[in-house]
Amino acid sequence: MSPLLPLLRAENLTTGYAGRRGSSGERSGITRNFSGEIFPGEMICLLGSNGSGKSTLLRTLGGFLSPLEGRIFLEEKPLEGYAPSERAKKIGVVHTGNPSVPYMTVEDLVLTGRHPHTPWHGGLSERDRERGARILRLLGLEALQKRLLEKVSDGERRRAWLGRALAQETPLLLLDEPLAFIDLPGGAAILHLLRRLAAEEGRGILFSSHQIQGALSMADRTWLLTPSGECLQGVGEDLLLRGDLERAYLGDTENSGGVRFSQEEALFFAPPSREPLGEVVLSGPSGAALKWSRSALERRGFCLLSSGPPELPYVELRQGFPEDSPVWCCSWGEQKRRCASLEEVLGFVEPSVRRKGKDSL
Amino acid sequence: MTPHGSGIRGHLCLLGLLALLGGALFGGELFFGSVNIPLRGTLEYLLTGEGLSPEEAVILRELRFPRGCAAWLGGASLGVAGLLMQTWFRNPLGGPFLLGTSSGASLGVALVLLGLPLAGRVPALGSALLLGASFGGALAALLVILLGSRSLRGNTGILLLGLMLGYLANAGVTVLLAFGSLSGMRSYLSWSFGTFGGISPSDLPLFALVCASALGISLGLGKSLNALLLGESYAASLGISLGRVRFLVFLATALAAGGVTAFCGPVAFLGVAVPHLCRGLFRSWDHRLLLPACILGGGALALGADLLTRLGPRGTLLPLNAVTALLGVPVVLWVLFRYRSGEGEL
Repeated sequence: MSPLLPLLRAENLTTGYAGRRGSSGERSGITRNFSGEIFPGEMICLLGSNGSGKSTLLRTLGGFLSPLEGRIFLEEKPLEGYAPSERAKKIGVVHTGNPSVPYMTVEDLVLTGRHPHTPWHGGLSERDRERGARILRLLGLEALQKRLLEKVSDGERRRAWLGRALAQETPLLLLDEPLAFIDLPGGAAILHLLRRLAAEEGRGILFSSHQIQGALSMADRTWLLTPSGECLQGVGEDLLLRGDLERAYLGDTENSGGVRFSQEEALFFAPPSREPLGEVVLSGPSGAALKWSRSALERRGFCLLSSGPPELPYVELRQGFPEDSPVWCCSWGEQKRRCASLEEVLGFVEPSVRRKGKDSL
Repeated sequence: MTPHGSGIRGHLCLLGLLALLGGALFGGELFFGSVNIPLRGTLEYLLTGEGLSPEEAVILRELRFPRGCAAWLGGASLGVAGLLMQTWFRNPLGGPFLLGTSSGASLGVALVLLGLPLAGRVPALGSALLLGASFGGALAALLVILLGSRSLRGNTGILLLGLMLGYLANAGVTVLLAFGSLSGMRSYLSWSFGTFGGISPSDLPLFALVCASALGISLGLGKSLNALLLGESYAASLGISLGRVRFLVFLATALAAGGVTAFCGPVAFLGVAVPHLCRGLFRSWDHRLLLPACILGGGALALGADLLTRLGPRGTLLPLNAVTALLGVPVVLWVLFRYRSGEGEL
C-alpha cells in the first residue's frame, strides 16, 4: 500500500496486566490479537469507551508495559531491543495524568523534552532552547512560559505536557488524551497543529481522545477498540457510517441508559425521557437556527411536527439573510406573537400547552 | 532546565554564600567549647602549627576538628539522602529518619554492639564492621520501602510503612538491649543519642570516604533525577534506565544514611528538612542545582545545630536530636500544610 516502512508495527498483540491485578485486571480492558501499523506522516486516532484499553494499548506500544503476547517493531527492529535512551529519540509520549512539579515553569517542562538530546550533565544548548521556544509558540504558550505549572489552568498545563512530547522531536508520538482539559477551539487548534507536524515533518501520530467528532474528522485513520477486545481499523467516517462507532461505545442498546448516537454529528446525546408535553408545529428554513429551535423545544418535552391541525401551536422561523438574527412567529388560536429569542418562544408555547392539558382534563 | 544568565549568577552567589556560611560555622566549631582557647592562638596554630599549648592543640586537633568535619559531612550526606528519597519515592516527607532508613541502620548497629557479645563473640569494634552493619540495615529498610511503594498508593501509606519499620527495628533493638551486656548497652545508648562529637580522628577518613562516595554518586544523578520528577513513566520515556538509576539512588542513600548513622548515631529531621529549605531558598526544582545546594546547606545546617547544642546550661551539651527536631519539625509541618492545601504534589 505505502512504499514507506512503518514506524511502528504490532503483530498479534495482546495487551493487559499479567494477572498481577487479580480480578480487576480482567475488567481493565484487554485488546486481543491486535495487528496494526503506524506510517510516517500519518495521524491515527484511537477511540473506545472508558476501560476499553486505549491507555493500555498506548503504553504497550510505547514499550512501557510488556505485551502479554505478540511483538512490536519500531522501525522494523524489535522494540524490546532498544535501549531506553535510543527509544527516547524515537517515541514521544503524553500519559493521562496532568501533574505539576513544585517550582517548575511551563517553559521548564517543555524543555525537559530535550532531555534525550542533552549530554550527561543535562545542559541545554542554544539549539535546544530554540526548539523549546518554537514549541511554546506553536502551542500558544509564549505568554505563559515563565509561569509556574502550579499556577496555570489544567488546560494550559496539559498543553505544556504536550509541548514536552513535541520538544522531544521523535518520529513517533503516542498521545494519551492530549486534548483532556482543553477547550474545544483549543483542541481543534491542537489537532490542526498535529496534522501539520505529521504532514510537514513526516511524524507518525497515534492519539486517543473523547472528542470523537474532532478526532475523527482530523485523523487519517481510526482505530476503534470494542468492549470485546477487538480493534476495528479504517477510515473513521467508514466506521461511523457502518455503525461500528455506535456499537463500540454503546454496546447493547439496553444498557446505554437511553443515550443515542447521531451519525450526522458524530455526537452522543440523551433524548428527554419525560412524557411529551404536547405537540408543536415547527417550520422554517433549514440551518443552525432551525436545528437549535428544535433542540430547545424538544428538551422542554415537545413533540415536533412539520405540519398539523390548526388547534396546535405554530412556530414559524423566519430568517431573511444569514446575518439577520432569526425571528419566530408564534401563533396559537387567536394569540400571535413575534418572538426574538427562543426563551420567548418557550414562554409562549409552554402555558398554551399546559392550558390545553387542563382543558382536556 | 537552567535559568538563563542572571538566574545562574544568582544561584552561584547563593551557593557561594552557603559555602561561606559553612566555613564560618566550621570556624565556630573550632573556637567555641567548654575549654576556652584564644582565637588568636587558634588562628596562629592553624596557619603555622604554633601558638597553642599542647593540651589546647590536642583538643583542637582530636576533638573539635573531627567534630566539625563530621557535622558538615553528616549534614551534607543526610540532606542529599533526603533529596534522593523525596524524588525517588515522590514523597515530600521522604527522609532517612521518617522512612525508617535510620532505624534500619540502628538495628544493624545494635546487632553489632549488643548482638555479637550475646553470641559469645566480643567484637573488635572495628569501625568497618559497624559501618557495614549500618549500611546493610539502611539498605534493607530502603528495600522494604521500595517493595511497599509498589503496592501502596499514596504518600501517607509509605510514610506509615516507614514509621512501622522504625517501630519494628526499635523493637529488635529493645530485645537486644534487654539481653545485652552492660558494657554493650552503655556503648549502644551513648551512640543512640546521636552526636557529631563521638567520632575518633582515626575513623574520620573512613567516614569522609563513605560520605564522599555517596555525594559523588548523587552529583552524577542530577539529570536523571530531574526526569524522575515527572514520574517513572515519563522518566522512562525520556530514556532513563530506571533499574540503573534505582541502583545508584539506593546505593548513595544507603551509604549516606548508613554512614552517618554508624558514626554519628541516628540524627533526626536533617534529611527531610534540608531539601525543602534548599528548594525554597533557590526556588528551583533542578537537581543539578539542588544537589550541591543540599550538600552545602545540609553541612551548614548541621554545623549550626551542633553549635546550638553547646547552649546547654552551665556548659552542658544539649542532645543533638533535640536541636534538629526544633529545626526540622516546623519544616515538616510547613510541608504538611502546603501539601494539604493542594499547592504542591512532589
